[in-house]
Amino acid sequence: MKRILPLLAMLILMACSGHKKGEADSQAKKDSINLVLRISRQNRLYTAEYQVHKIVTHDDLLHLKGSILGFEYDQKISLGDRKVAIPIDVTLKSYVDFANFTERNVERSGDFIHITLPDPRIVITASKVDHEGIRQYTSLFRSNYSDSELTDFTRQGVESILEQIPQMGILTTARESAAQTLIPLLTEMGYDEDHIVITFREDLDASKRHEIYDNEGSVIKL
Amino acid sequence: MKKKIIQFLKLVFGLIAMALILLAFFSIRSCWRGIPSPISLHASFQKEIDLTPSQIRAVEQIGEWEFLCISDEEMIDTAITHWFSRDDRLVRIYQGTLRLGIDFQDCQEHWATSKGDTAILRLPPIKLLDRRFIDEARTRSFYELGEWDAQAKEDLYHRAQQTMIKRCMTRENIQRAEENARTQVEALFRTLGYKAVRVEIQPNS
Repeated sequence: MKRILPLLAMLILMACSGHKKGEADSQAKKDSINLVLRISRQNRLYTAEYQVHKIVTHDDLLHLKGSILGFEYDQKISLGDRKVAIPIDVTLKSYVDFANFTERNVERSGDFIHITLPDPRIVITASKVDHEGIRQYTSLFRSNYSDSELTDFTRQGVESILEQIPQMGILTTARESAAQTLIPLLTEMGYDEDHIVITFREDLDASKRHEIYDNEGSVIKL
Repeated sequence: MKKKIIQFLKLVFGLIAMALILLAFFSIRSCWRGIPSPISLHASFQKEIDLTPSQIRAVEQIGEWEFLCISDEEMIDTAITHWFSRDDRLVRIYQGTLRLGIDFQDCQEHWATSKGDTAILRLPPIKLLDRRFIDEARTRSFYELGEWDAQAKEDLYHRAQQTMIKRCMTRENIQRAEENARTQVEALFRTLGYKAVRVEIQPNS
């Protein structure tokens, strides 16, 4: 017994020394490391903002699939279901890029000015998961969704919003907003509102995602 | 009666044992010869999300002129230390794009005027155009051990946001944005036909 007691005391001391500063049973440690920083000069005028809400759902059914002597089978295991619903909010912005804006885009005749603006483009500037709003339903024989799985579903959800951009009518609003932003600026500069004409290229095909969606500046790549 | 039940159970267990032996035999044989097994069994899970509609909650007309764009990536982690078991740990890599420029809403009255062939522009201070710049959809979960609640993930998000602001909103970057603002605004107004352009930017407080 005399030999065991010092050994026990040592073990307890070792256990305590492994715990930082001897605080309560559990404590949060925090750290951060910077990975990448990329800077680029821009000349973009953002004219409209869209808040898009989506509930991403995933229904994970466990299937047992296989074959016995050439007979295929696919059996759903009802005890292995799990479901998740993830509410996400995505911010889309439309902009006009003045980087390639030249004298060819401007026609002046006396007091009249006619500006042909570059095609408006759309970019996803932010996305946010409502973590409090996530609902998970997991059967007894399945584990909860991991953080990695949830982030993957969120990414898929945002990508599916991109699919729906042509149907949202965003381009029309983007063009109107660009004109409504520039006309007050030109009137401040002394032009009469009736003498300002702002137009866009007419043959822009909104159904072609790569023509309207900014792949480079966006957080989601096509 | 008892004897019959025992005999029946023996038969059932015998059949199950035979089936298992056959399954093992075919599996080993197919592995050995490299041919597909006549008996196969595997579990499959759905990886893709369901197709659901998106809802546009708000459309707003804005006037933000961007002059500098900074893409940042930060690794943020948190841990809960336990005395007698492994520590719970969550490591996430966040991505964000910070846009620096001017907001037309901050412009004072008569901020853009002209005198003959000279355009005079008094721009408001350069600022971060939108505080919502993190894309959580591109967040990568680098390491996860233990169960983490919504509050822990919200805390990580806000820490990533603060870290990015601290790293990117530096005096040097604001100066870069101001220099580019002068260059771009001057070029734009020269394109519009002005011979001289004077740009004044209010200092950032």
